[in-house]
Amino acid sequence: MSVQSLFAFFKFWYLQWELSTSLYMLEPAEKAIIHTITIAIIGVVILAALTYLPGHLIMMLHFLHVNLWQQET
Amino acid sequence: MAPGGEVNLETVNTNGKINGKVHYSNGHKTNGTHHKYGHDLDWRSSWWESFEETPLYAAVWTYLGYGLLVLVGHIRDFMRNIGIESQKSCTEPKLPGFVPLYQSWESFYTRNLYRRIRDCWNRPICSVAGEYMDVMERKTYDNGWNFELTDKSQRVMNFGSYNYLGFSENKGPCKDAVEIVTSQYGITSGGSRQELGYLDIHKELDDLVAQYLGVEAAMTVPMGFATNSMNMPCLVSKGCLIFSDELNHASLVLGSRLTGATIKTYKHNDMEDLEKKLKQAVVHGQPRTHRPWKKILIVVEGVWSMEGSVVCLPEVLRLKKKYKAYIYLDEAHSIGAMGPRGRGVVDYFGIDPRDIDIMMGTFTKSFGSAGGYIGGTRKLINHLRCNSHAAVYSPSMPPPVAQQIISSMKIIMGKDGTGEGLRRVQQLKTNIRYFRRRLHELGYIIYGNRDSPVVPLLIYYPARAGCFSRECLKRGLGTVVVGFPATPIIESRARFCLSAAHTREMVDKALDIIDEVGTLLKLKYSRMEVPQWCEDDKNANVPIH
Repeated sequence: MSVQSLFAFFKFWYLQWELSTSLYMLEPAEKAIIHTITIAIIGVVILAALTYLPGHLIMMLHFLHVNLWQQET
Repeated sequence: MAPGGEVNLETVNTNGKINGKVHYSNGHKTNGTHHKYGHDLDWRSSWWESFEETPLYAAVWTYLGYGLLVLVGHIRDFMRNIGIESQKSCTEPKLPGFVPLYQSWESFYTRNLYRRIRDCWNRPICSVAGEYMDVMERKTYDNGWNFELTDKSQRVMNFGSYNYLGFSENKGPCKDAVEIVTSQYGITSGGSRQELGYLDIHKELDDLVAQYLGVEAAMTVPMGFATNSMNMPCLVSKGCLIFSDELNHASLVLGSRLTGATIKTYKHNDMEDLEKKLKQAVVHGQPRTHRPWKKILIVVEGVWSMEGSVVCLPEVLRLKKKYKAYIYLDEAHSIGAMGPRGRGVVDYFGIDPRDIDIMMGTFTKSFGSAGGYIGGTRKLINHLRCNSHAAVYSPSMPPPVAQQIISSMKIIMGKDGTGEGLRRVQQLKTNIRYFRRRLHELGYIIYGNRDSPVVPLLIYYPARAGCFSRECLKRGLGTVVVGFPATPIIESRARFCLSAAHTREMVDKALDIIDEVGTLLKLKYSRMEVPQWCEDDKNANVPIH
């Protein structure tokens, strides 16, 4: 896939996102603010997942007496 | 004779009967007056309409989109109120003891939602609004508060004007006749009908309209809205009951309210709901005294312009006769555009015009003119001529406007000797069927009856509605997009009005543009199977949706 068609793909779906959430109608300043807030929320969710999920998953497996490591204790 | 089909005049003289029904020479059937229920099934076999349900994801996203817009609107309003941002709209000072001038939700909506995509409406044009028009280009540098005209204009195809038979033109026999009349009579008639404003051209117009509709007499009014609002108070009064369809036009609503009668609405075009309410009304009578209602009036429109639906007129007539009510038929969008001879829904169903008590219509849509008419029995029209506000207080129709109606009506009736009128009516019917079928095939949700000249294409999202209008204009198609106050909040739509002036090539080009924009905006919501009728079907046996 060429870079052009990749750009076109993202442009198309970005337009769909803008149209569905009525961001298309907002002024550029309002759009910038809402994009910032959206990216901030998504970024925080991803960072939190990366920080806390592995620990929680290991604790859950331990609780269910599932042992993923080779040596039996 | 099938409703919606051609009248076969050459077989009229086979002992005067066709299919056991006697035909009169003016083309009307007798079975209008002895309306047996069995005969009504005739029209049902060629009746097809669809009102597909809103897809759930579209409804949810539309509400979310509106939620975001309202939230942003409130924040911006707050910033404007405390002074961070400048006030750009007219606000009224808060005076104690005075009722506010603007309703707060309406002005909030205008200021924060409508204003953002305001360039899609009120576009100035600088040519005649025929099948092509010149739209003047405007630019806004402050997001919709103010517009500046650039010096350019763009020639686009016009699918937004009510030009059903293509008489909105500045060349041709109508224009020549109007020129002669303007130099002969001047521009104004100079008075009301009762005071020296009743010219011979008005008499000619009234007689011609009565002949066109097949009624005994008619009266014309220079403004279509005023025809409803000023004449209804003369017909019903306090102590009467009005049954008005829930989607009736503002002029009918205003006229009904001005009468002082009790108004009940019934679900749109729903004959069972109407019958139930009629039964209740007749059985229980007036609210406290239980005396019988003085008059019951059922107010319907021929074609509802926001939905594209056609009234089930034979059913309404059956109910009217059973419960001894009167019917007021507003044919603003259907006169000229429906029926094999262009005489409206009465012609479409093959009903005797004498069955409809009050036939009202406007000349704005199919005749390229202005004003409205009311037709009925001679007694009714005499009463209206003496008592109607429009006849007494408003100036009568300007002579050039009246002449335009006379010329176009004569062309439609075939009195000018050419086949132009019938050709236009046929061209419109073919355009309607073709356009609607192609849009169904492409996968868009279209509302309405397959024969209605108004085609609403559902868009749902407010941002998509604005984008649709702009993208179509960029590609050369001028359309009208309709949003909240005129339609329910989630059902924004684009409304196309077909015209006899659109050739097949223009309709094809328009369909290509609509498809291109619809694919770009992902508007193909339809999950219904593609209908199987085509342009020439008169009696397609398709079940009612």
